[in-house]
Amino acid sequence: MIGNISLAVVAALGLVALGLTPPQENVSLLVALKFDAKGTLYAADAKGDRVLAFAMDEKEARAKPVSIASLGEQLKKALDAGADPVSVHDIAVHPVSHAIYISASKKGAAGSTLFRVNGDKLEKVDLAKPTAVALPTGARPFDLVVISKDVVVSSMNRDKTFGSTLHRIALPLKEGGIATSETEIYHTSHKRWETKTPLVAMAGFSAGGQDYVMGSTACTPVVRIGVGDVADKKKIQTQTIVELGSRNAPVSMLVYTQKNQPTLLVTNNKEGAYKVAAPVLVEKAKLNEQAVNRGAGVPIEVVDAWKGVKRTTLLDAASAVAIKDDGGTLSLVTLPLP
Amino acid sequence: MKPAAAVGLLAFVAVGYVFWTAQAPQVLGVHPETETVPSNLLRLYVDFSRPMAGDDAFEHLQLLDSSGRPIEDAFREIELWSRDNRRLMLYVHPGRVKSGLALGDQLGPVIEQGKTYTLRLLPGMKGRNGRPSTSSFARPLQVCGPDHEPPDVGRWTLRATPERLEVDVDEWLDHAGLEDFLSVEGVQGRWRAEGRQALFFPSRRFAPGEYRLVVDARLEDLAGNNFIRPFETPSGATPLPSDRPAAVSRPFRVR
Repeated sequence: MIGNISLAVVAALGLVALGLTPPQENVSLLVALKFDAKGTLYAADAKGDRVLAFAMDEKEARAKPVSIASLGEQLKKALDAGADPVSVHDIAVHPVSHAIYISASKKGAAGSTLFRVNGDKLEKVDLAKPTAVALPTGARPFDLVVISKDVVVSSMNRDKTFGSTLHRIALPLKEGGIATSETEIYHTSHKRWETKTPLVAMAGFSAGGQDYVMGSTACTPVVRIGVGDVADKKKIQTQTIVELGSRNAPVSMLVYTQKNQPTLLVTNNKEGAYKVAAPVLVEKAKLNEQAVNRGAGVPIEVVDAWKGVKRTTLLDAASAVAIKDDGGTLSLVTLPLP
Repeated sequence: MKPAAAVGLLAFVAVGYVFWTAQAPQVLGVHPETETVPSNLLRLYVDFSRPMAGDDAFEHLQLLDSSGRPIEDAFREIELWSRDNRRLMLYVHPGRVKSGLALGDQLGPVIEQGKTYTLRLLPGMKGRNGRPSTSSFARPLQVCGPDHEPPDVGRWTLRATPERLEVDVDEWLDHAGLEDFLSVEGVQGRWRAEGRQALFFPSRRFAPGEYRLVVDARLEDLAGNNFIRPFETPSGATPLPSDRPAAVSRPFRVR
């Protein structure tokens, strides 16, 4: 008996020493989160290259400003990160309870953990089995938008081709119901059409009875896409409306209504957020070759108070919650919409 | 302690150490295998012996100039791993590969014709098993002129026997694409890419007759040019034609 136990212990230690870890079939890496109006959470899983939907029933509550200065420390502790840094992938607000959800992982972890903010503390969320829709083979998702009747996901190929695609999945989510379109984007900075650059940040809005996605590539034209144009095996010519310049990769995009007009806010890795004036957002004439560059007379405001803000989402009509990175120190902040 | 016990303990420790170090991930190689690359090189692959953790690649990757200095903003820092996390795809920063972009205007191209560079991977990149790589890896790159020409299947050399098809391509092509974007119409089998050659082994021997090699038109060369068009489309050019080819093909005969 003792011999068998000893053998089992030695075998277990041997497996650990060999680095053989149990299969991680249920691991997911949630890099983008969005709620629909009813409280279903949609997530882009960059581990399994899937879109997941989780029903998150919550009681109604009013939106309250939230601030957690020690977010990074709390995440390190909860993720048992030790000396390793942690990454926050995305943030979302439940539309009914206004509870804040955060997807995060420690550096090098195979998957992410979902947290719910309770007061100034974080609680791990035990996720129920989701509804899942697989993206085409090799499509690594970046961001997603939930709008009216669809989820729209941007992706880039993991290998073989330098390609950018959009996927449209009709709601409710079900396996197989996915349309994939190649995107073609006009880059005003070097006057070329390209199929190669993925939309790394996106936001959705509706205007004139139509649903649109605003998206931005890393280098950094802002484009508009009609959701209805995302059809299977179709090439989409996006509409470039403004060029934000170089070395300012977008991180997150928000579209909110101000003075009855949609307004776009783009956080980035360089400076304060860019606020794009409403007339540009709904521009119909000065597109693509005629689109203008930031700094060339375009009314784009750099909102300094948003410097360091990474992923963000609307809390209510007047404010947003955001992950702020001050030289590596992560905090959760509530900011008035500029 | 009896001598035999001490020897046994030492042997146990030695074997354990060997096992432990054997689990550290290693770089198996870099694609393309050629050391001569175009000045508008777009993509490299690094293959590892074990699934990697990710999130730390760009802390351990450097492109060094001929004097050994790391080049700033050499790569587009998005980690794109294969599904098994054993292959990392690296993009030489497209903002500095494409002409006319502000980043390229500010910093110049990443690599220049006639110069030599070194892709270096430093030790410490973690595997999914938590073990860091223990050795460094260096790969020299000699840069030739830019490549703006799409690949041409008409210049490929095909040799077929009942046992296999050998395809010698006209230039270095994307390694992963060469593995996945070729097929023989109506014939099951497996492909293997080796340098500038792709080998097809049919599940059943080819019977004598006519066959067709089919190439997905998205297959790219090292500079991102594919069968649809060059990576860089001239200024003012229209978007992609809607009737662009999905594939190109070449007939071949098995005697």
